[in-house]
Order: sequence, then structure tokens, then C-alpha cells
Amino acid sequence: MDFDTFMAKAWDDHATDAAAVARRLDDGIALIGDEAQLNRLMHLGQHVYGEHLAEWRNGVSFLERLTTLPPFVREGASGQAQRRAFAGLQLAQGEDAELGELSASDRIRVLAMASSHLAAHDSARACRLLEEALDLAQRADLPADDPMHRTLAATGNNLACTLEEKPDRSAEERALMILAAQTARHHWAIAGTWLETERAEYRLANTWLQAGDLARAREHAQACLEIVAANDGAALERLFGWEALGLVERAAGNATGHAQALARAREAFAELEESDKSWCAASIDKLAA
Amino acid sequence: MPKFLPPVNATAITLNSAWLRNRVAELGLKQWWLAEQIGVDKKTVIRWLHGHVRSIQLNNATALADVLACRVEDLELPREAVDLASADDQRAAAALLATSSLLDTLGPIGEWNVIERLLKAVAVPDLPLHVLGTIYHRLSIACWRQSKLAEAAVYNRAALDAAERCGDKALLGGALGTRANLHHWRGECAQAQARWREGIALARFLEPTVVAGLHNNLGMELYETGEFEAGERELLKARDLYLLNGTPMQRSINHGALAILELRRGEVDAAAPHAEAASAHAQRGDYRRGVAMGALVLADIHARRGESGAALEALARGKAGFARMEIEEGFNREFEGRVLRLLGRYEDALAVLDDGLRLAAEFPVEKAWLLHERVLTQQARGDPDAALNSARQAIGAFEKLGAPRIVEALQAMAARMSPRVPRADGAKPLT
Repeated sequence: MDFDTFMAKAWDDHATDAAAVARRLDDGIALIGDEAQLNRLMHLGQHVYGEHLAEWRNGVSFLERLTTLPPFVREGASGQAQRRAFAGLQLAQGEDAELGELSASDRIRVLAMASSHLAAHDSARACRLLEEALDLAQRADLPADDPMHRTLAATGNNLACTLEEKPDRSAEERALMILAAQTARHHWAIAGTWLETERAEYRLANTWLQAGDLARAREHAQACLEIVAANDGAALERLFGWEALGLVERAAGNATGHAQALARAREAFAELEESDKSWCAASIDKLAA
Repeated sequence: MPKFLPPVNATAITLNSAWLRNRVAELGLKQWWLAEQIGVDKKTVIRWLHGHVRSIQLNNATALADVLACRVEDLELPREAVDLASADDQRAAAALLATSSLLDTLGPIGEWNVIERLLKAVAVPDLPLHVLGTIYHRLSIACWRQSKLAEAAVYNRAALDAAERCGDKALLGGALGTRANLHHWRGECAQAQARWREGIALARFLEPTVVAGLHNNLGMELYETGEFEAGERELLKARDLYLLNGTPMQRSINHGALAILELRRGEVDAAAPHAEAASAHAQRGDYRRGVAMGALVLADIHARRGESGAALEALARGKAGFARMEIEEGFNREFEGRVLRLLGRYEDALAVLDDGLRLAAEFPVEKAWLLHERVLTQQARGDPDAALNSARQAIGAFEKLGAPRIVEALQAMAARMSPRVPRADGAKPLT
């Protein structure tokens, strides 16, 4: 098996059997040929140990093993990534991480990573870490092309998605879900394109729907559709915008609004490529049910 | 009564535009989506919302009621005149406009557009009341920003009156915030807190940063009257609302307030990170008052830690900053006085505090804290009689503010100075 095949299989399997993927990580070490591959395996290991298994110490041990390999360059990209990942796992573990030696951008990324690791396990700490990352980001005032914006945006989106799917959310988890979705919207507006910003509005609509605030969910579903319209967005984007608004109107008991949103979603669905229709049909069915 | 109300027939109702605005805000509805569901164009909806149309067709009212999940009767104005400025309202506005103080007030800060709008508004027949109320609200803000509190109060009363009569909740929330500020500056703390809370209860109708401002001001008022835990809760609510949406200036003010709260309760280490954050945000936003205030707060922290060199350096920076802005106020003198007292320069401290008391003559909250600081300074100088006299004045000042916890702490201090003054059990002296 070559490295790419190993990685593809690991990413395919990690959501359903993270423990098995973690056990196979050492097989991946033997396949590493250069620094870029080492970075990819590091990212996988950090994600599996950090977020899926919450085995932060094992994650740290895995990262330490990677630093002994010849492709690892302490002052190169792999060294920087390792220091961030290491500190993120240590913070999640509740240990003192050496944040002071990191740049402001890296500190923000580490705090965001640690927050993501903790989301499903200790939402109060996860929320505090995300708040700390946001506070630091505001104060640091880094340029739009700094990678911390994308890290915060992606982390916020993933956190919100995870928590939206969680049944019986606590009040702390609800607060974290909302803050995470707002974070994604704020930082995609800085570092992303209109498409990412529009999808962040979609995320916010779903987050507020799950949080039970229909007025705010409606505001964001409408904002999502406004961005799509302003940019002459593809049918796929329109479909999901109308799906979000339709779900809000149905939850609000507004039959007129729900029927109109469903009709507009169906119009968008009809314009989709056949390949997209197969996986989007469920959204229409869900809205029509 | 307005002269030009359109005839109302059985197929139309007189629209309550304030109720409609409130409901649309409450539901988070945008104009285009409301228009699309009802089957009218967006401009029609805008006219309904802004009160440019007095009546709407019954079929549209029915469709609106369906989408807004309300009754048609909710959309109807109970009394036709209530949504419009009366002839008396417009005469009063014209009279206010005719006073030279208005132009004196607004001219120097370039609020000519406000003057122009008011002039035009007064001349318009059937002026929607919320428009007049909004103009009054902006006038009141323009006045208090120049410390013209009496004029601000006049316009604020007019804005509140208009908001209450037409039922516009966004206007009401904003005007309540201004009313609370005015109460605060007059030392009417209980009334101020009540108004801020009433404003916060209207959060659904206000912008998040406006709501954050209400929480922030309420938090400051609470800790200035010794309610530290309640004050902190409000300030943290404001911090959360500002986290993504706040301007550097708003965030600087919020962190500055959190720093001062911690200093008021003697938690120097907890104050330091907030003071640093306040300064950093102020510098980022070129908020010069925040930069200067941040330096004074840092000077206070250094002085409490015995770092005299750093304290004096920060104090000089803060004073220079306020001098450049030509701002003189009692609040700053309190910080300066405390730094000097902690550095052992008691005579200098007392001179600064006396100057502060002169500047704070019209501001009871500032005055009370200056008296409090004077007690500590006279005590440190070894002048118990003067300290006891100042303590009595401070107790009286805080009693008037409605600050029982601080009164209790001051009574405990006074009791130690003189056995004749009864000591409240368990009272912890403030530092």
C-alpha cells in the first residue's frame, strides 16, 4: 500500500472507527517519504486522537514519534505544525502549554484547536478557549491572509456542525455552538470568498434553529439567500438557502412561508446536475415531510 | 388632529406601523421575504413599515396577519391619531428649534443634518410620530455628548414620550438607555438601573451592540454602587456580545470597566489583564480617551504593586493624554490621587482630590468615590480627624446613591477612627 492509499482509507474510516485508525497510524509512519507526507499524517493523528478519541496524551506521544523521523524539520513547516499540534493537545489535556514562544497567529490557532478537541468532552472549557482565541485575534489585528482566520473559521464551522447534531445539548454546549457558528461567519467574511460566507450564514441558520431561536435562524437563512442572489450563486447554494428558510418557517408554524420556500427549493433542485440531485434529494424530502 | 388622514372604508384598515415594525423585528423578517410571502413588492412593505401609508387593503392585512401569526385587529391602529405627531407636537418641535441653544449645541459638532431633518420634519403634515421621536432621541445624544445634560434631558423626555405613544420598541429601547445615562450622571442610581433593565428587556428589537452598551453601562453602575458580582455579570454579558461584533472602542471601554471593577474590589492581579486588553483595543482603534484612561488604570495597578517607577511613568502618560484632549474630570483625578497616595505623596494627592471634587460637583457618583479616596489619603497621612470628617461626607454621598455595601464598609472604617461611630458587624474595609 502506498502513502496516498493509506491516507485515503484512514480518512474514510476515521469517523466510524477512529480507534482502529489510531491503531493503524504506525503503519503510516513506515510509508512516509517526505516532509509533506509527514505533515499530512501529523494532521490525521492530531485529528483522530484530539477530537474523536480524546486521547490527548496518546496524541502527544504520536507527535513525539514523528519528530524522530528523518523528514521532520524542526525549523521547517513540519516543526511549526508539530509545535502547534503539540500545544493544542497539551491544552486539551489541561497541561501547561508553551504558548509564550509561539507567534500570536500560532497561539490563536492552538487555542482554536484545543477548543475543538474539547467540544464534545468539556464544553465549558472549550468555550473559554474559543473566547480566548477570539479575544487574542481581535487584539492581534492580523492581516486577512494570516492563516489563523481560516483556522478559526473552519474550527468554528466544524464545532457548530458537531454540536448541532448532538441530542440533549446542555446550556454550555448551546452557547458554544452559537459562538462557534458566529466565529465561522466572522472569519470567513475576512478570509474567505462570498461562497464561504454564504455557507457560514446557512450554518448560522441551522445553529439558531437547533438553539430554538427561530427569529435569528430566519435572519440568517434570509442573509444566506441574499448573498446567493447578490453573487448569482449556483442552484446548489439556492437549494440549501431555501431549505434553511423553509425549515425555519415550518418550525414557526408559517404554512405560507414553508410552502413558498419548498417551491423555490424544488425550482433550484430541478436545475441541479444529475450527480448533485442524487445526494440533494434527501434535503427536499426532509423539507417536504 | 392631523388634517389629511385618508378615508378608511370597510375594505381597508388603518395600519399600526409601530406594531408592524415591532412584530417584523421580533420575527427577524426581512422586507423582501415578507413582501414575497404576501405577494406585494418590497417598496410597498417599506411604505407600510415606515408609516408612509395610513391604511392597507383588508386582503393584504389578512395575508400579513397570516405570515406574522397575529390577528388582523393587532395590525389596526386603535386610535387614528396615535401614530402621528399632533399639531401640538409639531408646534413644540418648532418652538424648541427656534431656541438658539439648539443651534449652539449642534453646530460645533457638525450635526447640521439633524437640524435640517428637524426643520423639514416640523414642516411636514401628518408626520409619523416615530420619526419625530427618533429626531428627538438623536438630539438628546448630541447634547449629552457635549455634557449639556439639561438640554439632553428635555429632548430625551420628548423622545420617550413619542416612543411610548406610538409603541415603537426600538426607539423606546434607545431612549431608555439615554434616560438611564442621565439618571446616572445625576446620581439617581436606582432609577438609572431600572431604565437600563427596561432597555435590556427590549433586546429583541435592538442591535446587539446597543444591547451590549446597555449591559455595559448597567454593569458599571452596579460596581460603582458596590454590587460587584452583579456588575461583573453584566459586564461579561457585554463582553460576549462585543466578542465578534464590537468595535475596538467598545471593547476597550468594556475591558476598562472590568479592570476598574477588579480594582474596586481589591483584586489587582485580576485587573491587570483587563487593563492591558483595554489599552491594546484603544490603541488599535485610535481611541485616545481609552489610551489615556488605560494608562491611568495601569498606573493604579503598578502603584498597588509598589512599582513606583512604572506607576509614575504610566500616570504621566495618562495625564498627558487627557491634557492633549483638553479633558478635565473628577474620575481621572480619583485615579491620580490614589496613585500619589500609594506612592506616599499625600499632600499632592489631597490637592489632586480637591481639584477632582471641584470638577465633580455636578456628578454625585464621581464625587462619592473622590471622597472615599480622600478618606484613605487623610488616614494614610495620619490625620484621623480630617479622615473621619471625609468619611462622614463619603457615607452621606454613598447613602444618597443607594450603595449600602460601600456605606457599610465606610462605617467600619469610620468606627476604627472614632469609637463614637457605631461599627457595622462584618463590614470589610475597601482598599
